[in-house]
Amino acid sequence: MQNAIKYNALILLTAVVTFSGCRKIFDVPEEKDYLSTKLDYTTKSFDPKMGRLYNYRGILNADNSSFPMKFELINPHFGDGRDANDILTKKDVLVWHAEYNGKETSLAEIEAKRHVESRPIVEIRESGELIVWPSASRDLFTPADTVVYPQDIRYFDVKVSNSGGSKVIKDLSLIFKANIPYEPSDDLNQYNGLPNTTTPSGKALKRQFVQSVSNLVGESTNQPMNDPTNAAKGIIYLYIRKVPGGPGNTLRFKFLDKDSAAINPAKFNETKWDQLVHGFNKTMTSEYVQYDVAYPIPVAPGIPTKYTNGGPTGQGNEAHVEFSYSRIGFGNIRQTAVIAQNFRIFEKGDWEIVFHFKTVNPKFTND
Amino acid sequence: MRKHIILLSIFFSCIFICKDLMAQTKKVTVTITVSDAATKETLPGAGVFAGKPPKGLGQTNGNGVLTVSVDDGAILTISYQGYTTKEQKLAPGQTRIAINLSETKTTMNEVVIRGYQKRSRDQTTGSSFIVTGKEVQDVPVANVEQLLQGKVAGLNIQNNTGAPGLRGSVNIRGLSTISTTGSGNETFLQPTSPLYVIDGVPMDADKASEFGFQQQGSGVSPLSLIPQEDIASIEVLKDATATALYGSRGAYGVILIQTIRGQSETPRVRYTGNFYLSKTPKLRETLGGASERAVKVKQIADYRTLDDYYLLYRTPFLSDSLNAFYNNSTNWQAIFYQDTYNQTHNVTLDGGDTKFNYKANVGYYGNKGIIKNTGFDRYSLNMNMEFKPSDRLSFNGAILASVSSIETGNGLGLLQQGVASNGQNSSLLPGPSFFVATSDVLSALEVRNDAGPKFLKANMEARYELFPGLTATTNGSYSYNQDHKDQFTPAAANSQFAKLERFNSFTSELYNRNSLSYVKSINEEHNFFVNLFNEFYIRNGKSAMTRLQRIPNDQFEGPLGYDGYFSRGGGILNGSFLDQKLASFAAAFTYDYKKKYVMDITYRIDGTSDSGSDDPYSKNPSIGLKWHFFKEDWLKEMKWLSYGDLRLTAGRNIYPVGKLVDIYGRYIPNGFYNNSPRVGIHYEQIPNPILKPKSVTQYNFGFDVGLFDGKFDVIFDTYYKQVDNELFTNYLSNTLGFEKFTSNDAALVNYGYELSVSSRPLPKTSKVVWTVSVNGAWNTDILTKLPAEYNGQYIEFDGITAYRQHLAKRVGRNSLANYLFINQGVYANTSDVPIDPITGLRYRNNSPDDYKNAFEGGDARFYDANGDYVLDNRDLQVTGNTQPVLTGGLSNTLSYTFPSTSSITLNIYSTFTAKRSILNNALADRLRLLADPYGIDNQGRIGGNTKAVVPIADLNTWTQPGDNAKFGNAYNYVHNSYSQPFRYEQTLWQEEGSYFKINQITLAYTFNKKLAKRLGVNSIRPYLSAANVVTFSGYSGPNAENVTAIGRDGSGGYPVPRSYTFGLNVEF
Repeated sequence: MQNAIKYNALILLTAVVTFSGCRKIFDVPEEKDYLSTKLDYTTKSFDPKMGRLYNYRGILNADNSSFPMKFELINPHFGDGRDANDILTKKDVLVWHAEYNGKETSLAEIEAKRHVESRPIVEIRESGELIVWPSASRDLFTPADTVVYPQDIRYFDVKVSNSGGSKVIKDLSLIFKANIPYEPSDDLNQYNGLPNTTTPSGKALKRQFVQSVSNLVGESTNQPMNDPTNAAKGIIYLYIRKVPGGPGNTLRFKFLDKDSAAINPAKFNETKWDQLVHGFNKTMTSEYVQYDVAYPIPVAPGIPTKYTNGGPTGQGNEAHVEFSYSRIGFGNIRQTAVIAQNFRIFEKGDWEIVFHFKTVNPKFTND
Repeated sequence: MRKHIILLSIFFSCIFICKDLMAQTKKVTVTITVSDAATKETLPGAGVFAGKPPKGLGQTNGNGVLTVSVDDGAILTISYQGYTTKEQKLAPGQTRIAINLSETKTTMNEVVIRGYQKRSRDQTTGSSFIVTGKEVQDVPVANVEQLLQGKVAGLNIQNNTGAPGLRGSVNIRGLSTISTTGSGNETFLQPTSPLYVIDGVPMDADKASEFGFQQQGSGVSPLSLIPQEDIASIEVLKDATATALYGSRGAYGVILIQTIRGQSETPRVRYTGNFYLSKTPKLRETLGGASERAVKVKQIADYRTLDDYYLLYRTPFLSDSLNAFYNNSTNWQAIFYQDTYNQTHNVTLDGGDTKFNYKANVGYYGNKGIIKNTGFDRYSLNMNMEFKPSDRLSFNGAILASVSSIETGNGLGLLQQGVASNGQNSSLLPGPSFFVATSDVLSALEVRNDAGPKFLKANMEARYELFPGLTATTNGSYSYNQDHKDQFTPAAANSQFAKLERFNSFTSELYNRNSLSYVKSINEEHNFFVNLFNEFYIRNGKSAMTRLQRIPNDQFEGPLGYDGYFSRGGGILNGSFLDQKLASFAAAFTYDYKKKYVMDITYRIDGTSDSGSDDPYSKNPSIGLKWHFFKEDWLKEMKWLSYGDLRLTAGRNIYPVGKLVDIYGRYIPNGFYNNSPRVGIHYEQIPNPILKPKSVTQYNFGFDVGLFDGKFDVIFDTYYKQVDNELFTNYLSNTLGFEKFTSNDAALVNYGYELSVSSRPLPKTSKVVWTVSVNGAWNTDILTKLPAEYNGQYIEFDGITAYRQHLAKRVGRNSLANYLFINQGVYANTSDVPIDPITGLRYRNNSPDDYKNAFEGGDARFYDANGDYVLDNRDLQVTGNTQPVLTGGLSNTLSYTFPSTSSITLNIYSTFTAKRSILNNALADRLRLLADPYGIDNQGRIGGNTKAVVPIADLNTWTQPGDNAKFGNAYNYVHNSYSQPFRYEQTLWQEEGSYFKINQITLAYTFNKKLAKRLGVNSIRPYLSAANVVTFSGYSGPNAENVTAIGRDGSGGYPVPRSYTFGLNVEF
């Protein structure tokens, strides 16, 4: 019977060959990919900060159009019609080819997982989503001010095509904002990247404070220093700043007392120095502790490691450091003091993070 | 020979025209009735000759009757193409003679029925195929169409349910609709069964399935009420010319069923009895007791989270193995499934002569389902009689009455969800007893149904021959189908409160047809046939349902004491109101030249009340041409060519599809204004007054060839069938006041090829008669049009069920495709998972912000269509074809006649289906059973929903890094809840659903007359048969046929049993 099926199939096959062409005779439509008339970007204006990587997700409503589709960024121009091809300038960026996991044992091992590629500053992914690479910099773009005139806005169109046709989505807009090389960045003016002042044209600088302290006791007050913004309890400023003259891939932690003199980091005797940051070649002096690190920090936001916020099961989008020491407190109780801070640094360089005990020094001695 | 016949008939017809001049000595006027020996169908156009050498007397008329004056005691020779020529001597003074001719078995020479008129097949142009009543016997079935499977090329029948009394799906020449309702495994394709015409009266077989799987009522089709023993022949009409005259509802094809007529001089009693065993197919293998516990505990030990570890201690059915309550190994499937013994009995009485004859058929059919508490019983009485007071006037009357009762447990007939989910219960749980059992189990076993349609149909036909050739016929029929379902659920099965449900519906149909037909032959060369008729339908129906919740107790099933707050009902069920009127006027004209060149033209005007009120009439023409090339002189020499013809037809048919709501909208009470009640339109739907009926345009080219004197018959057809004006619900923008409207803006086409080959390889003199026939049909369907605003694609999203298996309707490809994630295998190692070069994140499922969603070794490798390294709805692809492309069958009949004239017959019927995608949800469910070792139910109770463990060792699953597997790691239940490697909406489950099935094997023995007489009967024929014998398929699920019409193999279906029958035909 199986033979009979084959025989039957053979006859049918011959028939198919003989009489094929129904599609042509009767003009039956060919299958094409689907390109929805409702395909559109749901977000059409973007204001990335220079120096950071943006992968805008969920900005396209494809309305079930068939992927893969071809997306092209075309016709970049300013609001007044001037050409804005500068957003397509190719620059070197770091591209991953293996997965970072936080267990790498040397800087070289991390660097081996990514490589340099020359890419346009603004790209449309295969998914239609927009990417702005951290290679956007001030030598090409002027950061947007508080008021943005149409002639300063860059517009571009996206041409979408698949075998079902093509469609141009017009006038997506792009405004580059000043590069803010680190977070938290309350001490920087978000519009020009300069030190921030408390009032628009004032002289008083805006400071930022450490994120979280617990069980710290003031040396002079003997009171808990549980509010870093309170001068009476003890202000703790946070500075994230560049150190001149380094090799370009270091991160240093420093503690200053109320006289702006360095506190020996060894005093934070319970700190897990090896798990502080994903850094190597720890150098510990009486003034600071320094690591060789891969930038940006965290190197791959979104991959949780023991160096990121929430630990290996957390979100993994910010680096997290904790410094702690313990002392015998009042009533013979061992108190473990913890200073914790989440941060991100986008720009490669030699950075230091400084915790400045501005008004009250922490108490290290036992009661 | 043929030349002879033609010459003689020409000669004779001259004589016939001037018969008055033929007066000779000693003449008698004799009425000759010629009929088929097997089916008792009369044969029109049979040639009657007298004397030696034979002189032509004429041809029988449309009723197979010829009245002619001959010499007394003459020898009559009756010849009919395709039948053995027979000689019969007239007894002196005999004026009536009935002659039975037996077939020589070639398909060419059958009698066909066109537009309610009997015609010889060689004078018609349409494409059709006849199955005799004999071919649909010997296996007891509720619905005879089950046995048509694989017998007719282009008739695709899938017996996709084993539920007693219910139907599978039937389609002629591919898909006729793209309309689906429901979601998940219950996605229901609108049935488009052909129009059944039973003894000239149309019947709607899709009645009872119009509500989809969630049907109310018994779900029994009126077609299931006709006993198979009463069927003489079934003709399947496929192309537009054949179906043209059934136009107003003939767009899905037409199947004509002729019941047996009384045609025996001496009254006969024939009895058919069947005793059969329905056997449960192989059920799911399940790990029992301790093995189940061991698998679950190991799963937890290997893949737990910390919390799960502690949870184990609080899960007694896993941790407390010494607890007697959980110390079981219950076979839950055995609780629901059973093998059953059944019987059917049928008695036919017939008798009479050509002046008056009668038939009565009384039948009982019983079938207990293989799922407990299900079954179907039918009692039927079928009578017809024919009365011919004179040769010019005849009356035909028939009554069909049947009462059936169906048990569906707590399922809905086609689906047995309750049984399916309970059959998966953990074997560790104690088996059911009245006190220790879930209410689901009790409701499956203890629910009591009283359901089933009662059907009554009466029809009467009168025919009068005004003068030779011109016949007037009128036919009227009325049928009434009353369906009800009373269901009682005891308190223990329904959260401590008894429940009562009552469904009641009726459909009635009044049908009338009047026709005038005229046959004229000029010199036997030019033959004309004209038929004019009109027909009317008036169809009414409605359904109502009430549900009384919390009735007082299990004993009192009355209308008092129920809880009005929870109860529902009253009024008419949504969508069930039917008030349809159809009126048609039709004309048919046939001309042939020497029966060599035939032309058929029909024209029909159909008005339906289901079309928009603006223009309810549609005009449907058809034309057919046929060329009997074997009658050409230049082919005369080719003796090996018995017959051969070419056919070319084109035409259009309609089917009314709109509902009253679609045309007129729905009006609802809208509060009061100035103290007078207002009735306003319901904003759900805009009425569409220009709604048109569905129209089907078909072009057909075919040929029939007979070779080597009946040794080889070939029928080939190729067709193009265009379905226009398909209903489509357009959803409107939410800025408009209305939500949707029904348009005619969808269309699809089917094209394909059909081939039937049959062969009788042995010489005619052989004692062994061996017939092999093969048929196959290749059908391609393509969606050609959707409403313009959809721009060529519409996705029917399933956002309701857990299946999320979406249907894609895309112009230019097969009409009903799946919309799924493409599975490309399994990641052998975590390092194989691609990394997003931009963010450095691993390819992950759905929410990109949670690293737990990242794929790892042992996860399914899904195609990331949009290249964003996140798997989400945008990666879904249109894939597969839910409809079979190749269908067909194979039959093999072998009979041997012993010298004693006893004979033995072996019939084997088989069928095949190929090139169709099935979503093997049964396999998905099997792997997903491992997803939750704790059995946490939807209310968060641990152990509330414990499921059995099905061994998966036979599957190629991933167990350790580096494995190159087909299925992911099923045991890693924690990670799988994030990565979902066994999600339903993927191509892993989309399998090729080809199968080859041996439907039926029958071995019959016919005792010779002498022996039968000695036993006191006329004839006796015992037989053994097996149905649904074996299926060969590459499909990994339980049964490639037992899937829904759109190819979903859910666990909730009703398995198709295998049956073994012992039966007996006795004629007294």
